[in-house]
Amino acid sequence: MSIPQLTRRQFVRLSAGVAATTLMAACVPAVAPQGAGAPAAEAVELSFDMYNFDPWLKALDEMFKAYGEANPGVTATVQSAPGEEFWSRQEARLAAGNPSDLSIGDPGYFGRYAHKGYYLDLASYVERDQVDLADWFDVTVNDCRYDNTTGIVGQGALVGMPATYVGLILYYNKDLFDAAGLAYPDDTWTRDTFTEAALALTKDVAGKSSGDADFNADDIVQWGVTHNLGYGLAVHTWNNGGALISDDQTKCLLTEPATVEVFEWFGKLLHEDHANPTPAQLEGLPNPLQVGKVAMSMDGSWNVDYYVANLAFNWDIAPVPKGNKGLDRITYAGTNTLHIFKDSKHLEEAWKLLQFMTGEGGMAYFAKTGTPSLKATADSDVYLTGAPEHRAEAVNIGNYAHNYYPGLKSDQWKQIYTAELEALWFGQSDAAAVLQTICEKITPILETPVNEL
Amino acid sequence: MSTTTSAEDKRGAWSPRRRIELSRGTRLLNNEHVIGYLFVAPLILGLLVFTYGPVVAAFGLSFTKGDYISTPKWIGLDNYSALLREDLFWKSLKNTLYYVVGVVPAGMVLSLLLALAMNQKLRGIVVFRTIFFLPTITSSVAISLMWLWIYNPEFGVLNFLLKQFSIKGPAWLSSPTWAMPAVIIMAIWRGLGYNMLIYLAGLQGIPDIYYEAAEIDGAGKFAKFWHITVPLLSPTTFLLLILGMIGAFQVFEYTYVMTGGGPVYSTLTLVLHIYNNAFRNFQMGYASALAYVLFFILLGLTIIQFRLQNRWVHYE
Amino acid sequence: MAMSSVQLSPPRSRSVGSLLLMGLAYLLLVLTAVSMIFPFYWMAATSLKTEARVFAFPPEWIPSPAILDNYIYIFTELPFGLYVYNSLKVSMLWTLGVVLSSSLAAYAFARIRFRGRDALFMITLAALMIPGQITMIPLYVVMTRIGWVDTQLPLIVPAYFGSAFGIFLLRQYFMTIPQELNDAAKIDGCSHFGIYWRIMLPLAKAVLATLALLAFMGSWNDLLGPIIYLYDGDLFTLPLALTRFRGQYYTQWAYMMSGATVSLVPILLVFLFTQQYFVRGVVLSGLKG
Repeated sequence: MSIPQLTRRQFVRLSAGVAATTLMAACVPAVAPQGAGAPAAEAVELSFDMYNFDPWLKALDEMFKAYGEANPGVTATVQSAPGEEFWSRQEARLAAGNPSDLSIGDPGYFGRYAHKGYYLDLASYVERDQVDLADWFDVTVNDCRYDNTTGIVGQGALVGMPATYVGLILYYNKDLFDAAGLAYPDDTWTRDTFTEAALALTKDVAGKSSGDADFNADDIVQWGVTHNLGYGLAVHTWNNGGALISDDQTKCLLTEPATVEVFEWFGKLLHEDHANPTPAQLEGLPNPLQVGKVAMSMDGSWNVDYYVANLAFNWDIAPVPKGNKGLDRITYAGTNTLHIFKDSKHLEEAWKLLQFMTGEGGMAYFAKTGTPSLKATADSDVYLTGAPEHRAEAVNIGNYAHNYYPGLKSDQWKQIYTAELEALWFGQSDAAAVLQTICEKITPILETPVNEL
Repeated sequence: MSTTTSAEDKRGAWSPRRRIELSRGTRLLNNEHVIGYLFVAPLILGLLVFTYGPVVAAFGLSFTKGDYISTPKWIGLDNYSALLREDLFWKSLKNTLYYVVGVVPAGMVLSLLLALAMNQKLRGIVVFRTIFFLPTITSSVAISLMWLWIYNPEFGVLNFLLKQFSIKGPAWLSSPTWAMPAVIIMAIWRGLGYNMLIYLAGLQGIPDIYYEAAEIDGAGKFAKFWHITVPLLSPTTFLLLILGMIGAFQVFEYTYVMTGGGPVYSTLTLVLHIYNNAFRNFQMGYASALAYVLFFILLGLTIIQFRLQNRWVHYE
Repeated sequence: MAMSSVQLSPPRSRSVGSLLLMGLAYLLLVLTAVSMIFPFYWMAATSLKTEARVFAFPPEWIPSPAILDNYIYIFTELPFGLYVYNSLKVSMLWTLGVVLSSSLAAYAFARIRFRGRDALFMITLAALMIPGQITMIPLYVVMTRIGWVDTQLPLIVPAYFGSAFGIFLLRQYFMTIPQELNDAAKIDGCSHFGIYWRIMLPLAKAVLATLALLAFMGSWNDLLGPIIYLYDGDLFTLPLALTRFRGQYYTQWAYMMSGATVSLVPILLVFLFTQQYFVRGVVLSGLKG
């Protein structure tokens, strides 16, 4: 076998070629600087970082197209990523120094970036352009504030503007209520009436309800209610006069009697009354309401439009039940906030875009995705027309909502809180003991001064 | 030109005779070392830029308290001492070991048997091979959902089957005792096709003449398997063992998607713990320290395996 | 040894016991095969359902009505052809790179004796031991400095610089090829590159095909890379584009499963293509005496 020596030379040429191509590609300049040094008349490109949510992606595309037509010098584009990886990517972009111009925020996450000073403080712009913050629901504006000294979201400097907000409401399956001959939930319901209905609507295969003498808990075909565990427990607790942690986020209040009472009630609902399915029973069944396995669902208003499109039975929404102590109703609400990164090269254009997005122009598009935080749009036909009958309840929550303790410490203590509560969901431990354990574990985190976080 | 015989070659490139040959005006490019480095030059460049640059950065971060978007604060070995004292670290390490021991040996044995079955020259065997390979290429979301449903204590297939035998199946993914075995079963199931494929490739390298010679000597099926297939497959087995171990120690997706580390931390694996610390708590320095502990464990185990391979791996 | 005159011993009679064992083994095999096909079937069935009926209970095994609307939606609402093109481009270029660079390095590790070889091999393997989550951000910073962010380059170029998995896989295989072949070639005046190109590669067809398949699959299904590096929708790969249905608040299962089903097809095709290299007994046609 005689091999010409050319093969080695060919190889050297090949590898040189590959190396050269690579080096040439590497010499391609970094993402073209966005209009740096260009005169203002040049086209400006603004990027908006957004996590995947098809309705929002569609709305943003339409919104930005409309904006581009009205403002020929500016093109806004969406840069999307799936939800879980979205924040890691944003972290990476900030680390490398090339974030987008604007971004969606999340009260749970934005405290971090606000604290490190990455968001633009909007106070001076709001003042200069005489923007009246009362045009938006208070709760939603406050969700855009961050206080540097306490590490709490909900007060302090304004670092963003609200887009839409969501909160906890009560969905119910009218057909199942009719079949059981019960009255629909309304705003007079207390936790007791709620519990009664839940028990009556929990049916076993023989049609017996929970609480009946020969109710068979091993063969349940329908539960009375299901809860979004995180927000649901918090809402019931607030309505009972309790709290999870103090408003200044330094004390654990889980062991207060008012709070323990609620958790004990819920444990009973799960394990004795069997009126709420346990997480085990819900595995592989992401949406029990949709398939008619629960009569009521205490869940977020973010599902309203999905349900309008995909529920095959008669349904409606009601406010969450009040507590048993005669206190005013409280529910959870959180806002989808919009922010500008301080290092953007087009702060002025970004601010103008932000104004459009959160003003009547942009809100008309946001109304297709959820409850707008601009009062004018929320109370108008743009949002209110359509199913379900009591659609206005989703807007109403803006008037009696409390946030879910967002802030710098929230990730850490909520993780522990969620993990430890599993012992309660799986019936391994009683409420008082679990809550005691949680308080012990999270108090050190809550007591850490902000500058040591 | 070299006229050494293969026996002399075996003495190695550093034997005196070889050196003399080389120094007799042979061009530099014929030097084994230079040629070797030429072959691996792209690899070395890639390792430096794409791998070890970031690796060193992350290692440095493990000695700080902080992350990549603010000025890190140097704290020396505090992260490492803290993790040794953290209950969750030891729990996640224990869980991970449980997972590795559960998945790797069983997975390899089963996929070897599967590969042998798939190596038959039967018509339509390709269809079977494709079927066994399907889970590896099907979207992991579809697979996770299917298994969540299988494991559902009320409506799932598994407990339904058990009920036929009058056994009340546990609440699999919600039971601290059964969650990890449930994940292990799913992991073995998913990895079968992948390992099968590599074993099939390895089986391709075993020449038929060995089997034919053995048959002449009157060897039965099992003898052929034990004395020919197993030893000649040992390089592939070694590969799958090392890669399987490295992969299993880094299990993340299954526990992240199916159980979130619960219930009660029973499926919290090391990389999930790292991920939580890095991207939920944003304690990047601490997360890096955890990752390096994992790294050194894996490195140690791998080096041991390489030392031991002379005892059982036959390359020729 | 003349192979043509080998006489195979007559088949031995099988006992009932061994037949039973074989029967059991086949039953197990068939059951396992059914379980393997199941998620794929469920995925395809879901893609033909309306969203409302995806989680109907009891589960609807055969979609009724079975609709093609989901497929129509994803083909018309999204620039599907573009995404498929992007994915094909990225994955094929990646696969080519992995096969080339890994085989080169693997050959060196298997057959060239150079100083520091074993240490370098261990260093290469060690690259697999760091969880990707930890190096993700620093690597991103490196890519930003080189200017490859917002392009498909980070998803293509690194393949040409070696893949630890590919190197390990091929090195093991190369090491099983008898040294005599190497020596014979050397005597005939073959350079290392010649041996690599003319002998090793052709002998390793099945393993190379396997590596190509796995590399293609890895690249095609890769999500984290495209998520981190691609912002411009025009550059999106197919799996990345399909994540838009996995929403923050709820997932649009029917669309997602349609996308996932379509996404499977190229990989299946590549798999079937590689199977042609899995023919028994092709090895060592060059070894005589």
